Amino acid sequence: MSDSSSPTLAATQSQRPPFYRDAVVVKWLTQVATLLLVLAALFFLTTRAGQELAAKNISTGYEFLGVNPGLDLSEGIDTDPATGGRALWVGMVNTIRLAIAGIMAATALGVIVGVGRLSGNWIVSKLSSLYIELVRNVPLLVQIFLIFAVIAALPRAVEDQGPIHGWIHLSNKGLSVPRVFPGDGFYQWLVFLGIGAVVGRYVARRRRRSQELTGRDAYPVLWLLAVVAAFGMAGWWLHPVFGWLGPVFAVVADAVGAVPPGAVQAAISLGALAAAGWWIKRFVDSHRTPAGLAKLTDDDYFRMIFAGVGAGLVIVTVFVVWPGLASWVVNSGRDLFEVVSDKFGNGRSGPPIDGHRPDIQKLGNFPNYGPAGLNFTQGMAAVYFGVVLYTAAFIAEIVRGGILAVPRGQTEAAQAVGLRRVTMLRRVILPQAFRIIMPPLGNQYLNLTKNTSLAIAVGYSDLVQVGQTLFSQTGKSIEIFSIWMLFYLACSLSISAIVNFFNVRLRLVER
Amino acid sequence: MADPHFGLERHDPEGFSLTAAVDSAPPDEPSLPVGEWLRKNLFSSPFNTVLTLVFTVVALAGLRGLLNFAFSEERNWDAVRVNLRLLFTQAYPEDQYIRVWVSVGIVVALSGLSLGLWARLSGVPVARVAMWSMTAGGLIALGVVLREPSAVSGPDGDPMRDAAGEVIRQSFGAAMGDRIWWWLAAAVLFGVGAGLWRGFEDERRRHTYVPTIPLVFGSLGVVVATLWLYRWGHYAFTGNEFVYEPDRTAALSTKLPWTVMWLLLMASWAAGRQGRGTPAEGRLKVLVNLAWLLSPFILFWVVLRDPAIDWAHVWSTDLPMAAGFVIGGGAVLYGLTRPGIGEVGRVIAVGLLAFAGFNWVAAFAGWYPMLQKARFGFLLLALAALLAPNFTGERAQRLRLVWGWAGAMTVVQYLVTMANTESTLNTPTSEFLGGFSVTLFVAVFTLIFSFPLGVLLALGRTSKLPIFRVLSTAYIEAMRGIPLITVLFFFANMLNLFLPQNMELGSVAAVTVGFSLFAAAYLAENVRGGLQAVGRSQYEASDAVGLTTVQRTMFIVLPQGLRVSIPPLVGQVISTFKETSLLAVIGIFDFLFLANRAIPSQSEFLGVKREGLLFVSIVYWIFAFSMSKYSQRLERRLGVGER
Amino acid sequence: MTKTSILRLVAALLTVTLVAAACGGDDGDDPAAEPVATTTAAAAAPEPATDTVETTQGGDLLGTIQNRGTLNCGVSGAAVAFSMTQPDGSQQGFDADYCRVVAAAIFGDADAVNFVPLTAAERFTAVQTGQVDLLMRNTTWTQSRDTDVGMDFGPTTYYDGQQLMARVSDGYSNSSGVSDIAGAVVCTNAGTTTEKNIADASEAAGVDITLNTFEDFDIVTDNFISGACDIITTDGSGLVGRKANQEPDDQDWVIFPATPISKEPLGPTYGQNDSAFADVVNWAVYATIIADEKGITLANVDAMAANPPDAEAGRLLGGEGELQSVMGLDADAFMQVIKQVGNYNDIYERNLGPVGLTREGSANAGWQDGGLIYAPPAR
Repeated sequence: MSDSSSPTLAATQSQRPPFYRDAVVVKWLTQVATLLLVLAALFFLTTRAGQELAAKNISTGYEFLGVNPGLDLSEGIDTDPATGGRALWVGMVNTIRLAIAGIMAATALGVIVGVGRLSGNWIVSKLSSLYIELVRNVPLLVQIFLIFAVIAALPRAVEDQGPIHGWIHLSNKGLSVPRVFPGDGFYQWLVFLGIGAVVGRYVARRRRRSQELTGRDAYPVLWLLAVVAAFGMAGWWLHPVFGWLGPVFAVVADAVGAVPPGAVQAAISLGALAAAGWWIKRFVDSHRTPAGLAKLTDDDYFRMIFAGVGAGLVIVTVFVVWPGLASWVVNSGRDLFEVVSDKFGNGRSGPPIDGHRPDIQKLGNFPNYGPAGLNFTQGMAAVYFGVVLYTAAFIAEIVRGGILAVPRGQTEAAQAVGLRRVTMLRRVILPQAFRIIMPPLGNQYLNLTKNTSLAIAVGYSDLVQVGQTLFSQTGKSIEIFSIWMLFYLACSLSISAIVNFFNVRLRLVER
Repeated sequence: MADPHFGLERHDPEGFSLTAAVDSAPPDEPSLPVGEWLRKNLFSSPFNTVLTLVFTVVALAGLRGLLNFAFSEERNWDAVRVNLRLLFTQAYPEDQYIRVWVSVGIVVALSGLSLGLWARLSGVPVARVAMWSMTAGGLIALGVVLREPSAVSGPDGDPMRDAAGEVIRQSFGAAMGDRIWWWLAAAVLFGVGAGLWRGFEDERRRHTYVPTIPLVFGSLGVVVATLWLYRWGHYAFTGNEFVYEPDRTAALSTKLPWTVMWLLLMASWAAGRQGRGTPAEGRLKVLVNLAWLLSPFILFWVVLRDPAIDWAHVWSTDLPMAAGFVIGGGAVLYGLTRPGIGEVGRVIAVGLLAFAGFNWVAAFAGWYPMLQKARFGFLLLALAALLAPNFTGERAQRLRLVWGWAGAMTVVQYLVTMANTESTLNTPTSEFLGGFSVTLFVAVFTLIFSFPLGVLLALGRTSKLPIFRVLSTAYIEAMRGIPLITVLFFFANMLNLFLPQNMELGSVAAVTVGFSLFAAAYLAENVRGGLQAVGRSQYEASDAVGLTTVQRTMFIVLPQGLRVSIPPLVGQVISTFKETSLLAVIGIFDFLFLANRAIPSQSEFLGVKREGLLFVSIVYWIFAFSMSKYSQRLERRLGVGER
Repeated sequence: MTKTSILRLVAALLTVTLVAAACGGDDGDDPAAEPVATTTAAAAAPEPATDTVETTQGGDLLGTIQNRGTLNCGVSGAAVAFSMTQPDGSQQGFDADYCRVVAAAIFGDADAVNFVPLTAAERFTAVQTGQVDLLMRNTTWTQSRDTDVGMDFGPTTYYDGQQLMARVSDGYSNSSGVSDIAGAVVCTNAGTTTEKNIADASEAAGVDITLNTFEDFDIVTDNFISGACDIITTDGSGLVGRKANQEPDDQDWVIFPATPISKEPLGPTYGQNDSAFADVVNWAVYATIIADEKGITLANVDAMAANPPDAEAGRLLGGEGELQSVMGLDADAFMQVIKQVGNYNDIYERNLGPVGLTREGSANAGWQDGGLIYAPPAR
């Protein structure tokens, strides 16, 4: 690419190439052009859809969220929702319940199978391999259908249902087990636990310091747990003393509600400006060397300009594009505190955690699981066991890979210094294996959460199923799709955040 | 099976060594006597003994449950037998069925050629073959004993029931007597295995190898032979009549094609082997690769669709246009690669790109008509022109670009013309693909479309340019964050709302687009892993020799990065293949939908569903399992993932 | 260099070009190039050449269909007796036959139909987005669908009503009612009006039920057979078919209440504001009904056409042809309908008869026999 004449270094610096050969200009031009192209395409597509819908006389908008949808859900916190929004909310809660319970069970099963595959017992390791190979290579949807068929083949429910009457009921109406739920004073009790955690942390730090000084094991983690447990026990009866928090939160809620929207707008704008300024300052600082500020390239200037433009966009959004944002923030803040204040109060004196055994009711001709127990209906059981068994197979492979990846030398070294087998696993192998296991494990958790959406195939009322029923009744396809997207993105982001948190914590162990 | 290499020792004089280590885990320990083996692996401690007993019971119960389910009198396997054609090709017209066989044949021939050209002559130790054979025999015997006795059938063919409505079953002895043929099969398999095991002493047993490919071909041959010999029965649906003829062999239209396929596989393998080691080997390999790349397009648009070619239109429009693009484009490219062209060449290329882009603006605004084919031709020409500076130099170098252009353009013009010619197939449904063929179609085309997109996204995400990075990252994370089913709902139901007027996609096409966009995000993450494994020194070295960014990416970074990401990419292919089952939820007549919904609603087989589901899961399993085995081999061979 | 590297280059170029090419097909600036029925990813139908834009914007669906040469008809593909996918992939059933009726009227060829299988949830968007021209997918005519969802409905071809099915062993008989189902697990398929109806009905009767919905009715029936569902509910036609074919030897099923809990008029459905196409669909259906009235059947249509019994029949069978021609159809369009598919009774008996749905005494009898099947006069 270079010219045949060889100019001196000074000459190249003084005379810039023509603008269409200038790397910086070309780079930024293509980028901005691409951005514009993407935006133009999005704009074009959305206007097309708008025209099309208008031409077909299809109304758009989110009014259906406030209208009675006239549908019954098979299960959830509210099986006869009063509004479309409420129905979707019930679906979301069902999805979240399924995901959390599924993640726990899949992890446990996966670890067992993964370790089983490494077992010295021939039949255990072969059965583990067989399980993994069978489950991994058949589509999840097919498996869910098959499990569903198996549950349907269980015996019919009777009034003295087994296998352990009064505790576990299993029939073709699903599974019913005892239910544990937060009771009256739950939130007051949580305050106790919180204080316990703070105190426990302090104690644990003291113990750790003494361990480092004396070299004797001072069990800091055990102490932490013991302190929290002590506070929990005390709080079990003493929690009503925190009843006064209710009125306090009510006052806070009023205070938040009284904030003028203008102030919020100003605060968000200032925040955006401050963030941009902070970023630019950090950026410039990173170019500061002992010899003075490094020469900034055009790229660097562009970056700083873009940071400024970003802040400007936020300000424009707050004041022009969506002026209602500020009052929305104020209102939801007030609502949040009102909800919290409602959870405290002088009248709340019951136990913080309560439980019920499952029961069987016979209203008309048919014995049925009553609302007291925790009921897995047929559809829920199918999708739950489907995703658990499927994800567990993948987790097992991850666990096995992680354990195998710890170098043999580590085991040998641990044996050489005379560690017992359990200590060796706990202190040497598992911490290192976990570091390898954690990121792919997070991915599997994400997959599991997304796979619960297959509930639609067996009629469990998760978000996708409720959404689909709603859209077949109202025709609001785009609106419901947007709600799906936002919800699942939020789920994914929170799981990623949690996994990343542990990832960072684990990485700190490394030197 | 009369392979001269049968039973070769590890090294043979010709130099292809039977690399057993590639195929098998390293079990190079001497085999233990049975008693010792049991003690070591099953009963080494009290805890292990308990484990062994518990899990043996679990395994036996599971096997018994599965057998009782599959062979129960309540199963109506006729539903699957009669609907086999529906399950695999749905409504493909019977009189055109030869096209399906030609397609299968092309794939089989290409597989055989590839095996011959690439596969190393690997082998399986005799010990292992013997063990497989004995295990199979043992399992059959176990199954025969475990399966509950069959029901006594009444005069109408239905199982008889006692007063309480329970099915009356044969006595155990009578049942075992009825299953004599199974006993025989078990005995033969076990006998062969035991004979092999006894026939070789320990050392030779483990170091004598049965070549894999003849072994596989032989087993396939046995399966094909049963088509001619065993009475699988003939089940069909012709002229609105159901045909059930259990007491004959399969129809000629089944056994003949499969026999031909088997012969074709062996012939093409032999041809591939012949080509090996010859001077033309390199060129052959490239040709076979090209054929693989083109085969989905040719098979789908030309062979299966059977386009009705309008010769008048071909002579008046298609051929002149193709010739114009090939010759005119070639001339332009030849000119652009002139050594002294300098800046002018770039300006011309950018001008071409601008013209190509403007064609689309004009299309949306409706300023002037132009064949879509021509718009694409101009765009491709502009892209090739942008590449031209890499080919400046002597004549041979310049001609390479021109020839490449000519070849690519010919194929593209041919295929696009074919794709735009109406199909002559007369099918009752809008999609002539259905069942397993639509599953394969979506999987294959998703792979083809998502690959370039995924690589671009990965490059974008690892790019230093912030806008590219932000855009790619946002896209990847958004797609990875949402469930596939919602994406499919969107593309199946709503895509056409967003498309320009007069442009619409069939549902399978729309869903393939959705699938590709979704898979690209995952693929991008796999490729990104590979790209990050390319060392810094590679970048520095390519900068040092003065490569441009494009050259560095194309010739240095991507080849190395992609090689590392091959195993995860195969994993991606498997999961895409499995995920195609979601098509059933959005109402596309794929493999699963037909088994789960369509067959149970035929009035002949109302509600017969479990058989179909079991069959579908077996087919899915066979495909996915063999692919995952292949990817494990590939991983070992490429040596990636080794620590 | 070597030829191998040329081939490599071709391969690389091809990868790019094929993918690019596969994204878009040809378009028609010349009218000869017909848009391809879009199975392929590539075969995007033409985008606008200047002259075709206005012709397709004015809601001229009939013209579009006639140009295309086939009718895209949305069916279920998995509805017993209404549209079943046969082992050779063909579609059979009452709804499928009415698709053929419309195709025979438009093209004179009952086989010029593209059946597009649709799920209950996607059917309306399929019409809205133009994926299908016509829905023949047991779709109930309701006010909200007619207005808010943006559909229009043709004459009802089958009067259905929602009923329930239970086991005699659980104490039910055909005189039972909704008030008797307290505590039952009631199952139905999701995303349809049946779900809403049973919820309303049980609320009105003041009984508590558990409603389980499943994606398709096969699962519902499976669960009923196994006992996971105590009662199942859907349109009466579906229940009769299930009872006739799937009732196990050891069970005794009963359908109740005698008066259905809902009205489910099923018929052709299409996008709104396109009256030329709507007229064709409506009158093709009416033609089958009038033919039934006049006794013109599949078997005797040729004789009847040669020698019509009265003036109306003559007009219908294309004697004068004015009436059909002004609709943009061939003069003998309706004769082809009867000749190739049959009259209402032929279609009914061929498809619904075998599953045990009788016409006599039901709402689907002709109006002279006390039913609701009625057509305006052809003149």
